[in-house]
Order: sequence, then structure tokens, then C-alpha cells
Amino acid sequence: MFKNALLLVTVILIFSNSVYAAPPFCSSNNEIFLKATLEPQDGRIVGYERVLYKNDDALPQNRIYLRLFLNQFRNSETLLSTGLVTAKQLGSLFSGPADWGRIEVKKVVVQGTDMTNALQMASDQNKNLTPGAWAFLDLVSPLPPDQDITIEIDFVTQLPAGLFGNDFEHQLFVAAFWYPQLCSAADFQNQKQSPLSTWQNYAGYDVEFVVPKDYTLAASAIQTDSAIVDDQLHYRFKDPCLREMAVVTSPNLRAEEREFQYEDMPPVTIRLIYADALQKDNSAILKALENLLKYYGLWYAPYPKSTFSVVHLPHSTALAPAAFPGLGIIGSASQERFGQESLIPRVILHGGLNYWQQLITLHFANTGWIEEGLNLYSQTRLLIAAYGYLPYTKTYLDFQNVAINWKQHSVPVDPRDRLMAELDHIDELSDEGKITFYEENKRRDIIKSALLFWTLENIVGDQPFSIALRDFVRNSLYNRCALEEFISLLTNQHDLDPRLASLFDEILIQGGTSDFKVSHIFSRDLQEQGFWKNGKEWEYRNETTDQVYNRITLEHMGSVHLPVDVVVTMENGETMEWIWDGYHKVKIFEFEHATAVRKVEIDPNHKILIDLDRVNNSLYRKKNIWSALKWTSMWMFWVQHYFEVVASIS
Amino acid sequence: MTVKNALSKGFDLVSRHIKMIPLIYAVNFTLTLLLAIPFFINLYDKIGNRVIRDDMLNGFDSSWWMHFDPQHILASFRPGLLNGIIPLFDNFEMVLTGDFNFYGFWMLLFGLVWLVLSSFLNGGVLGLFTDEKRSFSVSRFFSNAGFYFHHFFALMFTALIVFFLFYKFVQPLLLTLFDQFTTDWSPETLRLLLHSIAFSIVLFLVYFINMIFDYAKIIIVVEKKDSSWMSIWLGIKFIFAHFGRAMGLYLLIAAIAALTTLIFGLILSFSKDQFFLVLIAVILQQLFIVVKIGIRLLFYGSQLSLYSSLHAPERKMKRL
Repeated sequence: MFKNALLLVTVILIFSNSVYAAPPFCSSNNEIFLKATLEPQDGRIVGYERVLYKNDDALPQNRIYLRLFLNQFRNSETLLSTGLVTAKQLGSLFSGPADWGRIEVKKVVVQGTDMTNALQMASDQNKNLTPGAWAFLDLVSPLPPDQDITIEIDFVTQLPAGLFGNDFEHQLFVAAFWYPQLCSAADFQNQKQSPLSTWQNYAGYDVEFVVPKDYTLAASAIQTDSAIVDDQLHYRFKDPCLREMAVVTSPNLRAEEREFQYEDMPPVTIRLIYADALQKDNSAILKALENLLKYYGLWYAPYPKSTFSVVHLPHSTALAPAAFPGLGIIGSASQERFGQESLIPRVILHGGLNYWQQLITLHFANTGWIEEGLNLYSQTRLLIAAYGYLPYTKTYLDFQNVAINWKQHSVPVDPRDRLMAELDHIDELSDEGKITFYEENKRRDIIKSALLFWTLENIVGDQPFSIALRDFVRNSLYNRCALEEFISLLTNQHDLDPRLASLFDEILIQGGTSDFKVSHIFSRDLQEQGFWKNGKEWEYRNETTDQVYNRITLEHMGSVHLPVDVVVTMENGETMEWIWDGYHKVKIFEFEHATAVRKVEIDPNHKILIDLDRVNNSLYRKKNIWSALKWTSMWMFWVQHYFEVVASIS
Repeated sequence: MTVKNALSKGFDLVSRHIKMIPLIYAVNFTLTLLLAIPFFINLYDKIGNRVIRDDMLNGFDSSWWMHFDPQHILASFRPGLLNGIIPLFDNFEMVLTGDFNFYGFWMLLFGLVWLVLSSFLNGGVLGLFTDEKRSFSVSRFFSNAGFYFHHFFALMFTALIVFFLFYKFVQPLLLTLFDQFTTDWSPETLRLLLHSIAFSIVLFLVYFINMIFDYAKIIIVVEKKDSSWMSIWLGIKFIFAHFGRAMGLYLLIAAIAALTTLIFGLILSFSKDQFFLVLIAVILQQLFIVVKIGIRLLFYGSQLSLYSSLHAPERKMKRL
């Protein structure tokens, strides 16, 4: 705890003199106007979209593309349906064709000319794209660079039941990627490489969203107005820089707001939309979101918008919160190896996604590191700084998501350990015998990159790393950012081992791993053997000296080369510290000393969090029974009682 | 006879045959030891020479647990073992959920072995309890155990089938029934309340089934019945004829057992980060197991007293 407090104080000191300048204005190319009406009885949205589309390429554009994301869920055979979730999960989401989602483009007008008949569906030879998920229009005349055109689209969107948390039975409608999104040919080519990615460029949005008058609505954009007209509630949103107009609405939701103000950061209204049944959590959630805005504001960049919206939905909903850019959805708690995932980490995780997605964006494949990895890293960092280690929570009598969660305070859990545990299963197959895209992405890009951030911070040091990350985030506001920029910032500012700069590439792209091990310790008394002259005579001596010969064998079983600390503790309490470059697979240290080696530890301060097995990083020369004996005796008591319980029902 | 008198008679019977408790305890301990030896060897092999042993001796290391890949008997290793109440509540949860396989195959297998052993031992217990004229002796205990074993084994086997069907069909049906009154959108307090009511009914039914088989055993010993299934039927008849007293007695002893467990659980909740504290905990734990066995005998003794006092006059009346 002392270390955590120190970290907090240090970071606050570093940033306390920062001037929170107003965020730079978004340099978006497109201006989007949307007018949409929700028809709850059919679970669909009828919409009109007008886009002022600007060619930001260096060359003239002959063709523009429309991404119709929800057509990825037109049936159970589509690429996204089979790739994002496993078949088992899919079965629980869709009960039949009536539940599938789609976007139908009814009319397209370009510069006042009806071009509906010219709209064609895109496909690719590698079948990386779901048919119907992309459409294109060949323009009558090429669009020169920096020139813009106006495109108007009438569309009808059928929201998919189940997916994204849509629950028509309880009149809960979750709309994400629900309107046609205009893209360039370059965007289309990139999307083909990463068909499941849910990227979106920033744009200026002006949206009118109409719902029945008793509905509460949460959106990723800044709300400017609302009024009841003809028995319907008209919401108006204007956001100069938004990635995605995500909406959650229901008559069964309520809203609570809290003003956030910390030092000279811009004020933010935290808007929590919640189901009635979950009202008791509001206070804890709002407090956690205040912490998020405060710490992330100090560490990275103050939240730039006036509203921060988060939705708290019941357990059975919110399947894919990450798919909602700019609108944090706190959904189901997962039962993990180390107990129930508690509310606060979930709030910070999903609120964090909201934060990051409102600030920076990325492009396509191999970039899960920045949104998800950075989010997971910052989540664990915030948890440690603001809450310390959370207790292990075991769930009892779980049935249909009703359960008793018992916090076991005697077992505090470092949130980083949860991430490290995932590393063990990095190559495990799913129930269906394959790693789904989602799982692979989660493990490789998200978990590994979060741990990589931690490892780099531990090696470089809290302060330099925090400053580099802060500068990177502030430089990248509202822009696509790249890993190379961060690495370059880090290496330019600090005397970083060049091998560390390639860590992201080795671990995330090449799938490298790291696992250090102390495999053997050998010590024996040094013998003095030989013939010594004693006067005129030679005599044979075989005597023990006061020196001990020690040999330590270290192994590195991974493919990533990292310098690592090695600490050797001798029987007399003396310690020796070395740095092993970690380059060779096996390293043997031999030395003589007054006493034998007691124990050897690699990376004793747990800096390298990407180590697959931290336990084998240490070894005692002699075994000791006490720890195993203590736990066996405790376990025996439980078994004896178990027998008595069994006997009572015999 | 009142419930109070039956309980008092039960205490009297247990105290007169108190020597049975160490005997049953010894069997319980020995069987546990058979499991504990491979458990210890496995754990010792994993942490005996790693630095993690220092953390595990003073408390618990979550980072180790995260990477720990338990196999076989070690599958039941968990941080809650160090707590006072949690291991006991873990077992209680199994009674409510019926998930006796939760801690792996070996625990289930040894649980079944213990069932057979306790069926054998129960014969000795009830045989000696009914023979009020003579005091305890090991030879007579085992003689009775052997004499009634085939009946008690048949009853145990039948109970297993009944409980299997109960946990497979009745318990899920009950929980689903209560679950229908709420959804994820209902207030959590209401959902928890209905959840608790559903599990309370499950517990009551488990007790009720237990009680039937307890009286079936008593009837076999007291009435010298040859048919185990007939004794189950007679047990049901007896319970319904004297429902208030039979159920009242059972629930009273169950409450004593719950209270005892809670008291020991709370006492055992102290930190076990030093050797002498671990030693004190082990002594208290073993004392609790002895008391728990005593309470199980109290069930038999009290129910036997109740049955004898209520059924003997009925038999007399029938003869007249």
C-alpha cells in the first residue's frame, strides 16, 4: 500500500503543474447529419443520413464505399457471426431469422442525383468480407483531393435481438453501427485485412433521434436539446468530433447525473443511465467514474468533452461493450478463476473504453494494443492507486445470475495477477476446438499488451514512463495514433535498451513469450586435494577448506530476450545481485563463497509481467515442509467436515 | 414424549456411549489421511523449494494461485481453506446445490467410500443405542455394525438414488419456479429474497428426506424388520403421524449443529500466520470434528428416543 501511495503522490506531483489547455479541435473530414426514429414494436430504426464527404486522400476518388456493419449479422453464417463469438454463444443470442439484424439502404442521392440503382455490393476474392456488409458507388466524376460532395441516404435498420444487449422483451434497444458509414477505398482495403474490426473515423455529428416520450436515452454524443413533439421525445445531439453515434434507450432506464470538477480540469457532467433494479450501485459507480476522470486526467489527458455517459444494464445484457465507441456499458460480471469480477473493476474497464475511444482512435489490424491494451493497463493502474488490492470474491448458490458474493478480505488480489493468469491460457483452445478471432485477439492484443505496458513501466520507471505516455496521448488527441510513435517517444526521451523498443513487435506481432526459470542450485564444500611437501616428505591431503563451491543454472524458455535481475541469497544472509542479459537459453554461474547458496531469485521485484510462470523464477537449495504442511492440515479439516456432511445425508 | 425430553434422552444416550465418538473420529481421520498424503506430496513438490512457500506460510499469494494448475486431488485447493467459516460454508453449499462433484472426482469417490463406511458405523451406533442395558464395547459395536450392514447399505443406496433424483429434477424445478417471478430487471433485494426462499425449501426437503432415512434405520434396529424398503415406508408413516414432534426435534438438533458450526467457524477465523496459531487452529478444528460427530450421534439418539416413546404405546394398543 505504501508503494501505491508513493506512486500516487509522485504522479500527482509530476502533473500538478500541468496546464489543462482546451482540447484541440477535431480535424474531422466528414460532417454527418442523422435523423432517426426508433420503432420499438419492430425493433428497427428508420433513418435519413446526409454526409458532407471530403476526399482526404492525395488522389482523386472514383468510388466511395458504404460500410453496412449490421449486415454482418444478417444470418448465422456471416463472417462476424461465426468469428466474433463461438457457435455456442451464438446459439444463445439468436433464436431464428427474426432476431438477425441488417441495414437496408432504400435510397442514395449524390449531389442531388438519385443513384440508388448504381449502388453495388462489394466482395473480395479471399472471402474476408461478408456479402452485403459493404457497398460501393462509382461517382459520375472523380472527386478531387480536399473537395467534398453531399450524399443523402434513406435507410432502415433492423436491430439484432440479443446481440449488443438488445432485449426487446424489456424494451431495451442498443444501437451501434446502425447507419451506413462512408469510407474511402483505402479504408475498404484495410478493412478487408481485418474484417471484424469495428473502427470508425472521427467526424462532426448533428443527430436528431426520436423515441417514444417515456423513453430514457443515452448516447455517445453530446446532447444539446430534447423536446416532446407529437407525443414523441426528440433528442438533439451535436458533437464536433465523434467516432460513432451509439445509442441505448428504454422506458425501463433512469438517469442520474453528477458534476465532476478537479483542480483546473474542464468540468464534466457524468451521466449514468441505469436500470431501476441496479440503483443501489449508482453511488459506487459514480465515485469510480470520478476517480477515472481524475486519475486519467492527471496521468494522460483531461477528458475533453462536457458529458461522460455510462450505462449500467442488467446481467443478461451488454454482450459486447467494446463495440460501443464512446458509450461505456457496464454489463455482465464474469466468473473468473479468481472469483467474481467485482463491480468497480468493470466500471473502470468499460468507462475507460469510453474515455479512450473519445480521445484517440486507431486503424485496423494489430492495434488492439492501444484501445484495449492501454485501457486494461490503465484500469489496473487506477485500481491499485485508488482502491488497492481488491478482495477475492467467491460466488455461492449461483442460479440464473442470482448469487451470494462473499468477499474474502484475507485474500487480497493484485489486479495485474488476473491478467497474468490469462497468459497461462494464451494457447488454449476453445470448447469448439479452435481459438476464435475474439479470444485470440483478446489474449494476444489486449492482455499481452497491457502486461507489456506494465513491464515497460517497471523497467523504465514510473515517472519517465508516465510522462512519455502522457505526451503520446496528448499528441494523439482525436487522431489515429500508431505504436511506433509511442516507442519513438519513449526511446527518444530515455536511454532505453534498444531491445525493449522491439518488445511490442516480438510479443504482439510475432507471438513471442518469456519464461525465466531457476532450474538448479548446487553447492559443495571445496576440497583441497593433492600432494604437499612436508619437510622432505610428500604427503597426500584431502581436506575441506572454508570455501564453498556454488553453481547456479538459469534457463530462459521463451523467445523474447530481456535483461533481468538475479539475486542470490547465501546461507549467511549475504546477497549478491547480477543482471543477466537473458540472451542465452541457459546460463550457468559458478563461484566460490564462504557459505552455500540459500536461494536464487530471477526478477525478484516482479518487473517482467509477461513472464509465463513467475513461480519458477525462484529456487531454494533445500526444501522445506512447513508451508505445505500448514495448507494440508487446513485442507484436511475441510475434508473431514465434508465427510461428516456427506454422512449426514446417508 | 416432548421434543425436549427426546433431546435430553438423546444427550443421555450419547454421553453413555461417548467412546463411540473417538472410534468414528479415528475412521474419519484415517480416511482423510489417505487423501491428505498425496495432497501433501503434490503441494510440497510444487512449493517446497520455491520462494512462494514463504508467502504461503504467512498468508496467501494470489499470483501463485493464478498460475497454479491444480490436478487431481489438488483441484480442491483454494484460498478459502485458511478461513474459519468459508470451508464449512463450502460444504453446506454442496447440500443445497447437490454438486458433490464440484471439487473433483477424487473427492466424490472418497465421499462415496465414506458413505459406505458410515453406513457400517451407523449400524454399530444404533445397535448399541437400542441395547440400553449394556455399555459400550468395541466388539459389540462392530458386531452390531456387521449385523445391520446389509440393511443400512440398502438404505444408503436407496437414499443415494432419492437424492440423485431430488437434485436432478426437484431442486432445479423449485429454483426455476421461483426464478420465474423475477427477471434481471427486478430489484436485487426481491431476487435475493426469492432465491433464499427457494434454497430454504430445498434445505427443508433435504432435511425431510434425511429424517425419513434416519427413522427407517431406527425402525430396522428397533423393530428388527427384514425389509429396508418397508422400513422406509414405516418411517414415512411415523413422521406423518407425529409430524410436529419429529420435524421439531430434527430442526432443533439441526439448529444446534448450525450454531455450533457458526461458533467454531467464527473462533477459527483468526489469522494463522504463525506456527503456534496454526497449531491452535488444528487442535480446535479436530475438536470441532469430534463435536460434529457427537451431534450426528445426537440425531440418532434423540430420534430413537422419540420413536421408542411414541411407537411403543401404539404397539401396545395394537396388541390389546
